[in-house]
Amino acid sequence: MDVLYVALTLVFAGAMVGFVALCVAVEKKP
Amino acid sequence: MQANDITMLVAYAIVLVAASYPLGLFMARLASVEGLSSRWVTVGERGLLRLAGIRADQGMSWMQYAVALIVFNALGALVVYGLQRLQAVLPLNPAGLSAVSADSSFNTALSFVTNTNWQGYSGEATMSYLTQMLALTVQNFLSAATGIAVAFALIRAFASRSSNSIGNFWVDVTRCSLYVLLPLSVVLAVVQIQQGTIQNFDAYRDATTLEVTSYDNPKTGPDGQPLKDDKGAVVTEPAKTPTQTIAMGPVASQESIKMIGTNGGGFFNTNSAHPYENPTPLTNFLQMLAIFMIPAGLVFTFGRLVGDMRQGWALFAAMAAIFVVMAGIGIAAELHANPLLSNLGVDGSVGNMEGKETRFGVVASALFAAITTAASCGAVNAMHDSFMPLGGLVPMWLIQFGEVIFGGVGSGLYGALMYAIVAVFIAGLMIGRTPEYIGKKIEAYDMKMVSLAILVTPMIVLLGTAIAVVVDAGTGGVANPGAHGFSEILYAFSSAANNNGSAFAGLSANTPFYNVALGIAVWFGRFGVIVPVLAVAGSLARKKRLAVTAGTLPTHGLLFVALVVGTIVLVGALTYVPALALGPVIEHLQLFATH
Repeated sequence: MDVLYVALTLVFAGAMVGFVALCVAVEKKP
Repeated sequence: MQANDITMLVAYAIVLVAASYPLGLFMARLASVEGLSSRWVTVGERGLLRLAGIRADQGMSWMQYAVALIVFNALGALVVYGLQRLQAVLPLNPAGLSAVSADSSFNTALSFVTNTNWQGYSGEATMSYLTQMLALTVQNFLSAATGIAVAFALIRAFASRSSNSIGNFWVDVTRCSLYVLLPLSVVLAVVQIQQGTIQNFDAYRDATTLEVTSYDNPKTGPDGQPLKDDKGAVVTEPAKTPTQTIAMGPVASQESIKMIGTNGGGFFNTNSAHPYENPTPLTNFLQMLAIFMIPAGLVFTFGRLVGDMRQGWALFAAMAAIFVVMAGIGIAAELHANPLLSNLGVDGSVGNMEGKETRFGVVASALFAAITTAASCGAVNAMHDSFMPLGGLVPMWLIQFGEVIFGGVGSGLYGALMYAIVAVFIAGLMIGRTPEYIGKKIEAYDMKMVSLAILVTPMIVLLGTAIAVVVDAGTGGVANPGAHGFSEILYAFSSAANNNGSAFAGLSANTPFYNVALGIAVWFGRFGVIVPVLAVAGSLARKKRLAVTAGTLPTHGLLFVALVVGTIVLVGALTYVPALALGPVIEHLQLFATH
């Protein structure tokens, strides 16, 4: 179970970094 | 309402302004790139930053700032998770508490990192002293510092004259922790101890009670964890005891930052209703003050840094207007007797005392509830679940406004500024001009990000509630089926996604379903808002500040205050009134129609 929840936390963090990338992409779109 | 209640309300308003104004001006110095000037005072800051290899004058783009913030908080979550899982083999565990279950550890880790402090567990029966201090209290500081840092970044963006940087996240977090949160916490902790709050590492004590107590004891499995049935509810068996165990611990040090950082996670299960957490009416007053002090102060920080204190006062007025009305409704509702109890012969002359501490009374309890939910604190000194239906609607709706009425430390101000931008945008549409706020043009990208920041939490709240009321794992935790049970679920998701942490306690939420679902809500409700807010900051920072002309909408007058109030209330009403109608509104009509 520990692996699952640690992985889930990392996935959540990754999702937020992805969200940052998405916002940057929207910003750069002409 | 009695004379001492009115005195308390007036004193609260006066002391709040008197304390938050200078604090706000002090925080303005911290938010500036230069920081404090005294080399003696800043020796700790410089030492810590040097140790970490950070240059204080090195700015970050909004993207770098956001990634640093996310990585920092994700690492914090992993540490909190690990400490809970390992607490049985770590020191400072005199009660011999076993490891916290994996799903509860996950929920608590995300909850404390996001400044939510939702607690599905009972603190004194679950967490060792080491976990309380090293995991939970540390995160109380760091999550609060994170919120203030984001507010600093956004304020600097408004104040800047075209820059690619919104500041340095590591510098902001260090300064907020060292110069604001730590000193205030130490002062409040000392006062708390003087008033009777405990601070020790003693083992729990057993006291013989006057009569034998009957209770339902949770059954535990071989691993020491509570056994649960198919629906996830804890399995209990009847038991009797002639003694009562009195929990001890380092309470004062956690209590002070819990209020100052608008965290809200209690050392004990009953939170600020417990006499060791909140022993006297004076500590109750100071705790209410501590909740609003930094959020109210940040409004003045904003005014100072953008060079026009009237801008700060305008936001303060908008927040205060909504707060006074909502708190008034809540207090009025709780001053009514509950007809169900009156029918049983209970004296209701002082109002609804169910779930309230006699040392605080109705008004101080209802006011505390309004303050703790207008801010993102979530500490409670009374059981919100026992409030009258409309008395319970007030804290729930205040949470659903997005906690921008003073709000959480940092999160309140950056949330309120999102609404201010919407207000300016709507005003711009009305008069056919490009909207401007504090001399910054509000353009399409800014509005997209503002919309995201405002819509993320309602989406999580309403979707989460909808899922929970249709799946067995969600309805299994409801002890009060019907309108009140719906209110309990709606409150839970509202509280989690808006990072409040208080609860309508009737919901059994320490189940894998709620631990994971609310874990998702706290995480995305926090960072799903922070990311677009930082994007707005990055965009605004790059823009030049335009001079005020005859065509500029004044954003310091009564008209703008009314616009901001209208925007907050309308968005909150349009988003949540249908759901509120199914919960507290129906409950109110049922209660008073039948009685």
